[in-house]
Amino acid sequence: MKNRHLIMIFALAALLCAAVILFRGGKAESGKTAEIIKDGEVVERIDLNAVDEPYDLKIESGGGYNIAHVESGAVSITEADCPDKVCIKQGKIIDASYPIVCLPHKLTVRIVSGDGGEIDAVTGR
Amino acid sequence: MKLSVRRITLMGVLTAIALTIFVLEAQIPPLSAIPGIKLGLANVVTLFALAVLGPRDAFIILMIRVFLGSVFSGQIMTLAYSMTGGLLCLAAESLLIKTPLKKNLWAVSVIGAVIHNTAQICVAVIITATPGIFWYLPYLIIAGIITGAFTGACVQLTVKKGEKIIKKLLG
Repeated sequence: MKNRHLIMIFALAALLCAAVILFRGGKAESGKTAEIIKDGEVVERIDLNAVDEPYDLKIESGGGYNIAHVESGAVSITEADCPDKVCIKQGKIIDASYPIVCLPHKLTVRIVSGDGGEIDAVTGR
Repeated sequence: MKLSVRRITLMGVLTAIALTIFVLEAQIPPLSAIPGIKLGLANVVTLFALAVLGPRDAFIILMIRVFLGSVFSGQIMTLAYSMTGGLLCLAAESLLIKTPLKKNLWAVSVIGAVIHNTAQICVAVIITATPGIFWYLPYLIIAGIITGAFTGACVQLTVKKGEKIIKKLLG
């Protein structure tokens, strides 16, 4: 195979992925709800548009804890006793493009647009 | 393919190189907010071993590197990820290297990296039971294409320079 062709194939694949990201990011977002998910179950649901004063929320899970910082339109994890601190390094999330994940504690924090209640049968969100 | 003393020594050296790169790379701050995106420089050694020594030796080097890597970084959790990702990546690369793609090692590396990232996402979804994590996939595929091309180009150059020397060394 020629390098040229391969580059074209990979560039096309990358473009396709970028399209998926843009398509998802471009969706109109009416409401913003943060969901804290532990072991696959939603344990907390916060309407981010209704948050006036930022506050911290402690989440106990599997022998450890994470402290989520909730503010208007954004969530971040500011403290955790897990070994890798990946969730803290991820910083703030402001939209549904990707969730914060803390693997050692099996914890996910994500933002869903709209009411956050309905789950799409195809995407599972 | 008998395991001669020279071969074992060479594999030991390669494992040490891979482990050193792996530990050093872990010290570099994450490149982006999305976890799991990194250069994967240690895979240079795996692919190099695959191209020059063959799948069995590459497998052994990968296993030891991944195991010792998670011992040194003190995170057992990473073991599940690195193992699944690394194994599937190596399996795919072992198959691809038998095709005409052998001439384009960088492309083998790209496909390997994408498979590696996809496998890790699957493991993350299973561990956290959160299908939403799949939305990382497009980011990770793009990252895999870029980092894979980079590490693959490194391997291609190294193999070009080093293959003869190693073949001679092994007799």
